[in-house]
Amino acid sequence: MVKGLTTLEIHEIGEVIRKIRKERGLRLEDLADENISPATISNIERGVPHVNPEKTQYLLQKLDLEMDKLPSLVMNEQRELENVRFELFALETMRDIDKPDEALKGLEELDLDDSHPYAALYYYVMGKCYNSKKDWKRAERSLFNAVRLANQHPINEKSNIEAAAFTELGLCSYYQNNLEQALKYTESGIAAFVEDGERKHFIDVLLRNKGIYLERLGRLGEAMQIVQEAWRRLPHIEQLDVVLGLYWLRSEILRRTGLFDEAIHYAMEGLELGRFNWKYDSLLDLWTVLGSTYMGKKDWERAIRSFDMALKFKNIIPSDLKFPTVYTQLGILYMHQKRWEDAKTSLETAIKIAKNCSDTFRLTHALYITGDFYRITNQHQEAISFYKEALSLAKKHHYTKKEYQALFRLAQCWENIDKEEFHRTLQNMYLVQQQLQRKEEIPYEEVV
Amino acid sequence: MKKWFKTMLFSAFLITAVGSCFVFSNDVVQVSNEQGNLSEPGGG
Repeated sequence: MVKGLTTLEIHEIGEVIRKIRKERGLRLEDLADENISPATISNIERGVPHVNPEKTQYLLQKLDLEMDKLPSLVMNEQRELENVRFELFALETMRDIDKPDEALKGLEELDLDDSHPYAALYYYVMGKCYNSKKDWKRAERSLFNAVRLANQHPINEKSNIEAAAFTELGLCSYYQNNLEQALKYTESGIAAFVEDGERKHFIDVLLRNKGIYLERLGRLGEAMQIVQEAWRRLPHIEQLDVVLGLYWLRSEILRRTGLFDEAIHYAMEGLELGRFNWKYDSLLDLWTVLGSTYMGKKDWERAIRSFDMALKFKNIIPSDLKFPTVYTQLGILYMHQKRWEDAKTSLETAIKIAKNCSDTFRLTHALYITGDFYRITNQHQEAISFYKEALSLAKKHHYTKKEYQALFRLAQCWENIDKEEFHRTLQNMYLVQQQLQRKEEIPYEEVV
Repeated sequence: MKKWFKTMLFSAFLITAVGSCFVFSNDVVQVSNEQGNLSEPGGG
């Protein structure tokens, strides 16, 4: 009777058996005897293929399950599973439209246990919700559960839930400013990705994220390699945000390596794509990178026009988060032009917005550049106060590179004012440099 | 011997750091190559 079952039917019979056992309040051990072990019962319930069909038959008899009732029980189980999957799909969408609390409430009502075939998906959606709520501990716990359970039920074999959960774990670390860990999780996601599985777009998301983490870590060569790898897939990438993110990344890396003309080429291509797809967020990023590139080329007019275009997205984009970057870049540009008052106003605006958004990274950067403004205009005491503020934020949030830069600038300021402070700052620079070297794990041959 | 070596290392560092202060301060405006993060990673 149970011979010749399809893989799907094996899963569902397992589910039926598990449900009936639980309804009757029986443990695995209660059903086990000299003919069938608890491990075999567990395998049958989890739908593990290659279990001897006679064992399944035996278990069904033991539970007094009549064979003629089995097809209708399996059908009910199929319908119930479809319902759960549909509900999880709705809840994931709810989270994606920024309603994580409602989604979490829905998950709580579903209350799936770890043995449920969709438990991995359930925990993944939960992890995504906690990530949006910035509840990192709960997010990590849920996502680790998703990873753990993703390989336990055959229904998830090609679901790519493991790759998806690693993507979210990467984001979780990134938002906690642990870039190395974010990179490791993302690499695990790429390794776990099943090419012919569901959620195919995750490979592109993972590659884009990996590229950004490498760029943030200053590992531009490796980041460019990832961009080139992802570029081959460009025509097949389903998420437009990913495509535009890659355009931004390519342009940014080229700009930072001094290949300005190529940087402009890719920024313009991305801008055209973003323009006719109304992707305002990406347009802001690309206009800013274009402005910075023109600034690198000392083409002040086009740089100002580009930053001006970036600022046009104010009140169009819901968040002000990225504007401090634009104002800071404008501040630098005005300093180049010796338009000191304009520079000061731009930098003050950058600091104000970054403070309002509680964006510590961009605030640290804006404070640091404002320190530059005062140092260049020979107002050393003011410069020191801004560098110190940048330093303290960098220290608190472990932006070690920024910490080093702020210390270096402080040393420059102290050099002609206070020799003792100058030496103390140099000593601190030495300590921070040691930390940086430990972080970057410089190979032996490079250590002099 | 060990302490002597450490002192040497630290002095070498001081010379490099002070040297780079000198090189950097030649520019009137030093443009930061970084521009503050823009495009962010995301999920799927």
